[in-house]
Amino acid sequence: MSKTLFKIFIRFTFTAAVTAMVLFVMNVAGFAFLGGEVSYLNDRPPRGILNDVSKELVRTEGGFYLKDGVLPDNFWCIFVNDEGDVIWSQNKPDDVPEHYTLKDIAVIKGWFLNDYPVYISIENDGMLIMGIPKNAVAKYYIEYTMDWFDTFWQRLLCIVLVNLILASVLSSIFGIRLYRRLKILFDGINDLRREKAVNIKEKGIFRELYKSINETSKAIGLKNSTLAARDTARSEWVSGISHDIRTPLSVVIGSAEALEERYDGDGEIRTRAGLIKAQSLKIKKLVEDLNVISSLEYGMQPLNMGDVALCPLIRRVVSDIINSLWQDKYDIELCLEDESAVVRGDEYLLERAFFNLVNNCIVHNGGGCRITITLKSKKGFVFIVIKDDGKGVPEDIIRDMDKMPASAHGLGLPMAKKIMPAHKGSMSVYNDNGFNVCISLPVYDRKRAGGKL
Amino acid sequence: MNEFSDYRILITEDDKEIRKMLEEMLRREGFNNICASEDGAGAVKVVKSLNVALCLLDVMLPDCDGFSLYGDIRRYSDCPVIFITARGEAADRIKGLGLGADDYIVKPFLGRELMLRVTAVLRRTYGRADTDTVIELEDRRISFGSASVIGSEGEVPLTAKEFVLLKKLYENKNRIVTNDALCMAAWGDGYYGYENTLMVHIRHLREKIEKNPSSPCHLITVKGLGYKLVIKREG
Repeated sequence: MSKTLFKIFIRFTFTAAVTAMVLFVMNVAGFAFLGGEVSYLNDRPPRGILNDVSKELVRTEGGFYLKDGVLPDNFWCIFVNDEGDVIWSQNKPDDVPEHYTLKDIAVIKGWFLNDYPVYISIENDGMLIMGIPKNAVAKYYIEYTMDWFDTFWQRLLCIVLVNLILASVLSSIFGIRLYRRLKILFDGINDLRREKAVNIKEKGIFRELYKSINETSKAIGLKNSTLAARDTARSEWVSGISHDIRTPLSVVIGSAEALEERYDGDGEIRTRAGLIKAQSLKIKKLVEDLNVISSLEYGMQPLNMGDVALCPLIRRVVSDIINSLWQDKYDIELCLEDESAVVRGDEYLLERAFFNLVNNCIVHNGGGCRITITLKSKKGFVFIVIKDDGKGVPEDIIRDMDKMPASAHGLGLPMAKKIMPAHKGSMSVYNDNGFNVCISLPVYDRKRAGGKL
Repeated sequence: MNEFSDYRILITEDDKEIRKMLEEMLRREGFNNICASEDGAGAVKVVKSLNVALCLLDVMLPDCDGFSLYGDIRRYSDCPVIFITARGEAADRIKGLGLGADDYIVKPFLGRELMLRVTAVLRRTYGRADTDTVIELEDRRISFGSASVIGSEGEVPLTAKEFVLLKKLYENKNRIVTNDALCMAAWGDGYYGYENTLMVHIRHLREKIEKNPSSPCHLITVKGLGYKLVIKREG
């Protein structure tokens, strides 16, 4: 169960249980307040009317007098003296006796008289019995022991607790169904986040939400496939153009070489042929860089990962550069402190990256410079610093290093910048009395790679 | 005189200009037994009927791709194959070399480099390498045929390691060869830790080939990188 869903489930269960408890307490209170009094047949409780009768009944010489309106028309009332005889009555039905024995009084006891609900008021010389229409009220005799009253609060607490547990269990049972539906929703949204295809069965209370998620997934899939198709087309286009350029370039370079050899004695033709060859080789390098950067940009080409010993690689790169230089204007100093530094990576790409970075120092300092390359290992990382004492690189190239360059010029730095993160490394470039590059790459398990150095 | 001048080389390339250029390059290098084919079917036909010493194959041909053509050629011949292609992606290179090709050259290429590679493959395959190669120095000469240095004081033999190292340096003459490449040539993949031994062998080599070993002018140390065999003229 995921943490978020568990929280939602617990909160739902808790809320449902609390709601049930609040309702329970309110219902008990409501029953106590509303159900505790009998119906008000004439806007006033019967006992109140009987009290009024008791107060308003006046003894006269000829008997009793009760003013009109005190006793409602559908009520009746009798005054029974201590001998059990009815000495006054008003609205008395015929089936109500005129004389009462002690036994009759005990039976009535304030409850019913011939099915009339009655209320009794004790007077000085007798008693008033007031009756209301049959079936107007129900009366129940309730009897509790004192022990019941003594343990009332404990039992009330028990009832509350049992209610709470019951409410929790019931809400959990109902909550599981909700949880299952929420989980589908949750998984669907998570899959959307990971841009995985989602196809939820559209049913239940969340049907509309499921439908929305399915439609969003389809829209994302369509967008991604369009983007992928565009990237593939772009990468294939670059690859195709590269291929188309390479073939005629071979003829240009080969012909320039042939001219160089044939006109060995003719200085101008030889120089021009050499120029054509050198420029063609520049185009060749640009095409290669463009292909690599395009592959990295669109992730079209998987990295060919292997154990790469950095020191031999750097030495090879530097040797190749020195071997290709015409003039001895560049002083390259190596300070490789960890000969065993091995990283996991694509050797071809790393070699290209280092070649471009060192070559960058050469390209931007036509008058010559001193280039220093240091390599150190620390805390599981290899740090390589390449710096020169030349004029540095233009700030706009450093600033736009993360972008695809607008022109083929300056492709080397962005390419190296893209290669390093592909190897879980990083690269920073800055000008400080010359061009400076700091690279960090995670060290690969030396024990496994040690024998292969 | 090219030692492999009579060896038959088959060029399979659909682009007429490149085919012609390759043929010219090979002829200039001294190869005079060259066949050319513009497609895979023609190449198979040649390999079936003639004894071909080396195939230069383009990968993208009109009737098939060079990788499948490599398999067809293998049915009739064990000759070495060098792919020459505009497909420069790592995956293609790995595929080509993985099939068993002897080299993989991406267009555009330098003619000089191609010729060196062609000669290297032929030497590796047919074993006639260095039999009569002699390096002329100021006061002595190195003979790879007899694996010795011949000077005014007589003939000094080279040890096996010295021979391998000198050969590697000679193959890359006037260019820096890294310590790693030299160690790899002498001791193979597990060369790590042989740098000091390499220095000892280089010192011994200098004693044999240099007039003044403490101030070498042929076997130069390039600090931090490796060594360079400097040769001004060859015999």
